[in-house]
Amino acid sequence: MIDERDVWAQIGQVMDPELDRPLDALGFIESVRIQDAEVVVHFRLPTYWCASNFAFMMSSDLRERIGRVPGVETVTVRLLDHFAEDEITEGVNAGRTFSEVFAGETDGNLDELRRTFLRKAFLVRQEQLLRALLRLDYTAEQLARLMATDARVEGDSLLVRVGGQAEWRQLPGLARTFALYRQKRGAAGLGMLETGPLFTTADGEPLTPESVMEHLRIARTIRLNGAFNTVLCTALNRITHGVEVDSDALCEETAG
Amino acid sequence: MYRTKDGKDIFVVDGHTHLWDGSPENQANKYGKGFIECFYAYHKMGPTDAIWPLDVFEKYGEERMAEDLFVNGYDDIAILQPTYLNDFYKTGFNTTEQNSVIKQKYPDRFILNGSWDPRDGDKGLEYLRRLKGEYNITGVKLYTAEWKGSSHGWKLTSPEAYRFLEECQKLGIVNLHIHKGPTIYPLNKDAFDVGDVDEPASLFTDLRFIVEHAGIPRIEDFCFIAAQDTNIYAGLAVVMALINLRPRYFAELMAHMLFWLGPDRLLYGSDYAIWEPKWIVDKFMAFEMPEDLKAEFNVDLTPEIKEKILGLNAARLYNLDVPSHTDKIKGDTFAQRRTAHVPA
Repeated sequence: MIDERDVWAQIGQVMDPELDRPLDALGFIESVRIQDAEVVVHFRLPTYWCASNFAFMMSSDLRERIGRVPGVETVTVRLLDHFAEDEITEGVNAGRTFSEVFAGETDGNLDELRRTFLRKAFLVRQEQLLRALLRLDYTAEQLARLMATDARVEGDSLLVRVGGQAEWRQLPGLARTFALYRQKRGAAGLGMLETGPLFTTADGEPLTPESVMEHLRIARTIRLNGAFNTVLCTALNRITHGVEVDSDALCEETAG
Repeated sequence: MYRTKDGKDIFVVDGHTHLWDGSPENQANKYGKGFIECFYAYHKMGPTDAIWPLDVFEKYGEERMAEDLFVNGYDDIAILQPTYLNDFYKTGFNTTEQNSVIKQKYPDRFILNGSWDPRDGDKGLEYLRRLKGEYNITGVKLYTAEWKGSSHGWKLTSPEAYRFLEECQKLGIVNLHIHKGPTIYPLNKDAFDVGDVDEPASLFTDLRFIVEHAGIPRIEDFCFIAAQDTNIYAGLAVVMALINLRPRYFAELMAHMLFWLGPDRLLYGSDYAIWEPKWIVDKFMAFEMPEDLKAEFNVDLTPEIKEKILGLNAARLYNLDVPSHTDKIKGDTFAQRRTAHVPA
C-alpha cells in the first residue's frame, strides 16, 4: 500500500528551478491519484509558454522523486496546458532524456542549466544566512573567516563560534536558514560543509572580508529577481487557472 | 502630456506599443491562440477597471489605440514595436507593415520601428534595407524566441546576427529593442539569458541595446551586464505593472535599476494593449521611493528622474526635440479632445 503522505512529502521536495520554491506550495500540482502501485500526477505551469526545458526538469524530477516512495511501481506525470505538453509527457514517462525528446534542437542535456540555477539558489540562501548574522552583531570580517567547523545545528538554533574560540553562541531560530543553505550548497555541488570556509562564492572560492558586501549585493539582486518572478508566476496562475496560493509567504521565505 | 499638481507639463514617450491582430480569424494554429491568451493573462494583472473583454483585446484597431494612448492616456508619442509571429498568425501578429497604417495616419504621434531575423539571411538584409528606404526607421524590435519552421529561436551572438548588426550600423538603425522569450536554439540552454547582449554591446558601441522588460525573468543578469556597458538600456514595460500588483517589489526593482544603470538609461513603456498608459503613468507619478531603499541604495526617484524615464530618455535616443515636437502636436485632434476631456 502506498501512503499518500509519502507521495506528497516527495512532491514537496521538487522545486521550480527558477523560483527555488516547491511545486506544491506554488500551486502547480493539479491532482495526485494513487491506484494500487501506480501514482498519476497532473501538473500545470502558470502559462502555456513556460520554458520547455524547466517544464521537462520539473516533470522528470516529479517522476524520479515519487518513484522513491515505498510500494510505488509506476509513476506517470502529465503536464497540462503547455505548448510542448505531449512531447514532455510522453518523453518523461518513457524515461527519455531532454535531448532525445527534442532531437535536433539541443546541443546537450539539462545538467548545465540545472547547475546554473542551483548556483543562484545557493547564493540566495547564503545571502539570507549572512544577512541574519550581520543583523546580529557579526562583522563582515568575522563572517568571512568562519569555517565549516564553526557552525552546527542544535534544535531550532544555530550554534556559532568566532575567532577559533571554544565557546559556542546559541542563535535561536536560525537552524532552518542554515539547513536550507547547507542543502543548496550540496545540491550546487560545493560539498556538504564538513571542512573549509563556511561561506564561499558559487565557485567554492572563500569570501574575503573585503568581498562580503559586494557578494551580498549581487546575491540580493538575484533574490529580488526570484521574488519578482514568484509574484508574476503566482499572479498568472491565479488569473489563468484560478489557483490561489499565499505568495506573500512564498516570498517571505526568502525575504531579507 | 502629463500635468503635475504644480502645473508642470511632462512630455511622455511610450517606448513600447503594438497594434496587433490576435483574433481567432488570424490565428494559424494552437500556438497563436496560446500566445494571445498568455498576453491576456498579463493584461488581467492590471487594475480591475482597466480590463477589457478578450475579443476586444484580440483586435482593437487603430482608432481605439490612438484614443487610449493620446486622449485617455498621457502619451505624446508612442513607439510601435513589431512582433511578427508569422508561424502563429496568418497575416502576422503585429508586423511593421501592419503598424505602418497608424503611423501614416498620425505621423507626429508615432515612431515606427522595424524588425529583422538573422535566419532570413540575404533576403532579410534586403528586407531591412527596404524598411529603411520605405519608412526611414531608426530602431528595430528583435524577438529571439520567434519560431520559424523547425527553428525555435536565435541568439544575438551568431555570425548571422552580426551581419545584421553591421547593416544596422551602416543604415543608421541605432536603437535595438531586444525581447527574450521562452524558446531559443539550443533548447537546453536558458532562453531568457541576456548574456548574448553583452558581447555585441561592447563591440557595437554606437548602437543602443534596449533590453525590454528589463530582462525579466533574468533581471539580475541584466543588471550585471548593463552595469558594464553604457549602451545598454532598460525598457520598463511589464516592470511597471508591478506598481499595481506589488508596490514594494516595484520599489526594490526601481532601486536596483537606478543603482545599476542610473536614471538616464531607463525607458517607460505601457506595452499597449497589454496595459494602458493612463493607469500606469498615474501610478508611476504618484509613486515615491521608500526611505529605507533610498538610504540603502543611495538612489531616489525625484520628479526630474521620473521625467527622464517617462520621456526625455527615449526622446534623446530617437532624436526628438521636445519643445518643437510639443508645439507640433499641441493643436492636433487628440490634444484638442484631451483638453476637452481633462480640464487643465
